[in-house]
Amino acid sequence: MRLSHLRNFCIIAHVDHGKSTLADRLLLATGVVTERDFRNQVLDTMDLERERGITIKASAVQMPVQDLTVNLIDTPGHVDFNYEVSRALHACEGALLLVDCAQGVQAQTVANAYLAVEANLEIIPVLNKIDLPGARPDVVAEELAAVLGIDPVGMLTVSAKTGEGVSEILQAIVDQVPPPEGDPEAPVRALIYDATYDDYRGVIVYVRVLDGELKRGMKIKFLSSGREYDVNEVGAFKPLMQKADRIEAGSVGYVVAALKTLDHVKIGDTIAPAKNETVEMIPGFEDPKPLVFCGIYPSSSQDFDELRKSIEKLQLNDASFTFHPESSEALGFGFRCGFLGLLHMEVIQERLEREAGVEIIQTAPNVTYEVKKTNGDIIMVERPAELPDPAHIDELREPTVRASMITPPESIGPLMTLVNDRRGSFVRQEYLSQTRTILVCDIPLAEMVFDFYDLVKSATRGYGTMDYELTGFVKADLVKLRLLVGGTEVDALSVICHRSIAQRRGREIIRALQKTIPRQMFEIALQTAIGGKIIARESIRALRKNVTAKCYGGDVTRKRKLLEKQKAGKKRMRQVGNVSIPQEAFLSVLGRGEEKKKK
Amino acid sequence: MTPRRLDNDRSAVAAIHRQQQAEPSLYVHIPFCETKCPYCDFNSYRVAGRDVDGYLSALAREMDQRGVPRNPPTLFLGGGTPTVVEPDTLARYLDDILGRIQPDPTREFTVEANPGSLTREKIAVLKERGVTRLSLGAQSFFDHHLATLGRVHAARDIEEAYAWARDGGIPEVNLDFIYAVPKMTLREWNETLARAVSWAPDHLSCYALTFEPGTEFFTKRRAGRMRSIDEGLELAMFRLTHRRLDHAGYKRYEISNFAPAGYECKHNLGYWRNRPYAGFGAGAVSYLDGERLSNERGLARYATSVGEHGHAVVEREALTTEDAAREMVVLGLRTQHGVDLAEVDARYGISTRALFQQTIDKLVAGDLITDTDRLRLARRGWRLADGISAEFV
Repeated sequence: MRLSHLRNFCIIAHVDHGKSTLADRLLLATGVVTERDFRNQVLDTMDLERERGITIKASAVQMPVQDLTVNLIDTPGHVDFNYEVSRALHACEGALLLVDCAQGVQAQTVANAYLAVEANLEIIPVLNKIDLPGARPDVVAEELAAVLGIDPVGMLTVSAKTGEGVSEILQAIVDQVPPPEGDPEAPVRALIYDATYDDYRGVIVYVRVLDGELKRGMKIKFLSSGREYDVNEVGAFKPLMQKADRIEAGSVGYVVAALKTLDHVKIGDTIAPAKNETVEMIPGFEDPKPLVFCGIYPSSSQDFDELRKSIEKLQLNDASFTFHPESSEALGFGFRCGFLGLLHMEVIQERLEREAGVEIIQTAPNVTYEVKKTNGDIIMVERPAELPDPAHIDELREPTVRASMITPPESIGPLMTLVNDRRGSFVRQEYLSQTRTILVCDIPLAEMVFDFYDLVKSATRGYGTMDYELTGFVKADLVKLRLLVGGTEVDALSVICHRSIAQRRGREIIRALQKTIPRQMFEIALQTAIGGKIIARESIRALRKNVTAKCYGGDVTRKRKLLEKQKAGKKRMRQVGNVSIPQEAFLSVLGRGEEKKKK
Repeated sequence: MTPRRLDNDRSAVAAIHRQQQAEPSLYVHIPFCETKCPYCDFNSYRVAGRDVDGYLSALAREMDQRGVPRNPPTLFLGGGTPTVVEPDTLARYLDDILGRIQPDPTREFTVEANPGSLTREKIAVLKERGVTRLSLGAQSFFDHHLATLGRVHAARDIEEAYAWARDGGIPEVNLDFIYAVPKMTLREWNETLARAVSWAPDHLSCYALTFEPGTEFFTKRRAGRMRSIDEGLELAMFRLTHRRLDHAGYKRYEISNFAPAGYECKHNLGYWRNRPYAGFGAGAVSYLDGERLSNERGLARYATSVGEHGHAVVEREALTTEDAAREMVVLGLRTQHGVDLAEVDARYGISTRALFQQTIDKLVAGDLITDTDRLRLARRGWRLADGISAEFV
C-alpha cells in the first residue's frame, strides 16, 4: 500500500467531552462496526474506564474511508499519562481536538492541544455536542482560537450522539491530515506507543511503523534494552484483532512476540531488526518514574497473598505502576506502590479492590524527595525513615509541578488563595474568553497529592479544571517531623513536610491520635519534634477507673472472657513502650483522611 | 489465653485438683425476687406466678442426682432473694439442703436477703437452721436512689430488717450498698457510709453501679435516657469508700468488700483463691476438678433438664494448667491478700515468673502492683484492676 493512501489520526479531548462516542460514530459511519453490534464505547475495554469516562489503554482501529486506510489511534485522556499521550501522538499525523460546546475549553483540552502542536500534528478543531441546549459554539470557537492561534471561523461541528456532522469530519481527515512519510524500503523502524497484557497471548505491543515493515517470523530488537525477540504475529484492529502478514511503513498495528511480562516493553521504545546497528532510536524516549507513592495493605493479614497476586496481575497490564513489598509495624505486611500521578493511583486502587476482592488499607499518598548529601551524592527518598542524618544533608528538594487551571474569571481570587495556601506561586494568567481564564501556577507536588483537585473544584464552584506537568525538583525548606509517643519515636507516624506548616501538621497529627488512641493506665505524652526540638505536645489522660465491681463464682468465666477480649484488642495494637496504639490511630495519620476529603 | 486446650493438659488440671482433695464449697441458687431490679443481671425472676414448688423439687432432684459435697467448708444461699418465699417454704428447702450435708456449727452459712421481704419469722427460721451470716441488700439509705434502682423497700425498712437480724441472733450481718447511681452526690454517699458504719455491721460490700448488657439500665443508657455519673465523681466515691471504711476498721480485703479482720466472707474468698465449689440451681456455676460447669438459666428448661438427665449442665469449660494459673493470678489480684506466685507454680507445675516477669516489671514500674512476698495491687492499682488483670490473661 502506498503511503499516500494512509492516514493516522487521534482524537484528543477533555474527559467527558465525547471522545469515545465520536470514535464509535466514526467506526459506525465507515462500516467497521454495524449498528447491530454497535456497543457503546468500543474502544474502551475496561469497565472502570467506561465508568469513569477515562480511556486508560490506548488502542488503534483501522477503518476504510473512500479508497484510503485510516487508523484511529486512541490516546489516554489524563494528565498522569502525559508521556503516553505524547508517544501516541507521535504515531499520528493529525488530531481531532474535540471540545464540548457546552463546557468549553478545559485544562486538558489545552494540555493536549499543546502536546499535539509539539508533535507537529495537523490539528482539526471539532465542536461537539451541538445538540445540547446549552451549546455555545461561537464562544467555544473563540476560546479554541485563542488557545491555538487560529481562525475561529468555519470550525467543524458535530453531534457524536446523533451522528450529525460525522461525514464532514471524515472528509476533513482525508483532506487535512497529511499522509505519513517514511521509507518502505529501509530496515524496519517502529515506535512502541502502547502495550497491553492478554491472559492468552501474553504481551501485545502496539506499534507505528515509520520505515520498512514488520513481518511475522522476523527477529527484532528493542533498542532501549537491546533485547531480541521473534515476531510471532502481527496484525491490525478492525476493530477486533486481525492477523496480517505485515505492518507496512506508515501504518499502525500490533505485534505479538514471546514476551511474558510488560517489564521489558517500554513505551516510546524503538523496534529495529535484530543484528542491525544503523537504525536510530526514535527521539523522545523516557522511562517514566513514579512520582506519587502510597502504601497498600490488606485489611486483614491473611489476605496478603491474595493482594500480592492481584498487584502482580495489575502490573502485567501497567508497567508504569511499580510496587515492592514492605512491612509496616503499624499495618503489617503490604506493598509500597508508585504511580505516575494521582489519577493513576486512584484507578489502580479501585481496580485492586474490585479485582482482588480484598479490602485494602491505603496510606496517605506522598512524593519522592531528592536529597543532595554533603558528599555530593544525590539520593531519592520515599519515606521519612530513609532520610539521611540531617548533618549529612546539604539540600532537600521536592518535586514541583506547573499546574494550569481553567476557570471562570471570578474564581481566580479563591484559586489564588488556595495556591498560596499550598505554597504555590503565580506564573501567568491568560484570558481565553470573557468566561474563561487560564491560571498557571507552580505548586509543590506534595501539596497537591492529598485533596487539591477537590479544593480546585470547590474554589471554582465545580467549573474549574486542572492539568499539570512535572517541572522538576526544587530546593525547599523541608523538615522531618518526628512523632513521639510516650517519648519514643514512632517512625511510621513521622512525616516529611515544609517547615512553614510543620507546626500545623504536627498539631493535626497529635489531634488525630488523641481521638484514636484509647486512654490507658498511664498518661500518654504525644509530641512532635523537628530534630530535638519539641514543637507540639499534648497528652492522653490516664484511665481513671477501670474495675469490675462484682466477681464471684458465677462471674469468673464471663469476666475472663471480657479480659481476654480486652487483651485481644490490645494484641492487635502496636506496642510503643508502655503504650498500645490501635491501627485506627495509624490510619488517622497515614490514611486517606476521609474527613479532609469531604471538605 | 490460648485457644488450644490439650486433652492431656486438661486431665492434668483435673488431677491437680483431685490431688488437693479440697472439699468444694456449696452454693445454692434461689432465682426468685419480689421484682426484677432494672440494673440486675443475675439469673432471677419475679416470683409472682412462678412454680416455686416445682423449682424446689427440681433443685432437690439435682442435688440427689449430682451429689452434694458432704462436708463443704462454706455454704452460701444466693439469688435472687432466697428469703422471698413463705417461712414454711424457706424452712422446707433449708432442711432439704442441710439434710444432705454433715452438720457443722462452725461452718460459715450465708443467706442473702432483702429488707423488703424479710420478716422476724423468716429470721427465726434462718437462726434455727444455723445460718451464721445474713447478707442484706440495703443498697442505699436514700429513698430517691432506691427508687432509681427500682427497689421495693424504703430506707426505714433497712433499719427494721437490720434490727430484727440482730435481735434474732444472726451472728454476722453484712450490708450491700451501691454507689455511683445516676444523680448521686459525693455527700450522699459519704452520709450513707457514715450511717452504715454507725450501725457496726460485721461486713460491708460496696459496689459501683455497672451497666450490664441485657439489663434495663444498659438499654436506657444506650438510648440516651440515662447517664452514668461523671468518671471523676465515681473515682472520688471509690476512694472515699476505702478511706472512710478503713478508718472505721473495715479493711478492704477485695475490691468491693470490707470487713474487720476475721469477718471476711470465707465463701467468697474461696472464689478469689481459686478453690473448688459446687453450685446447684438454675444458672448456678460449679468449679470442680479444674472444670467449670454452668447450669441452664431458664426455670422451665432447668426443671426439664434435671428431670430428664438428673443435671442441667449446659456448658463445660476445662482449663489448661496455664489458663488455670492465669485465672488464679487474676482472681487473687482482686484481694488485699494478693497472690503467691510460688503457690500457683506449685499447684499447676508451671513457672508463672517465666510467663509474667515482663508484665510484672512493667506494672511494678508503673506503681500499679507490688511484688514482694506476694503479688498485690498497689494503691493506684485498685481502681485500674481490670486493665491490670488483662495483662495476665
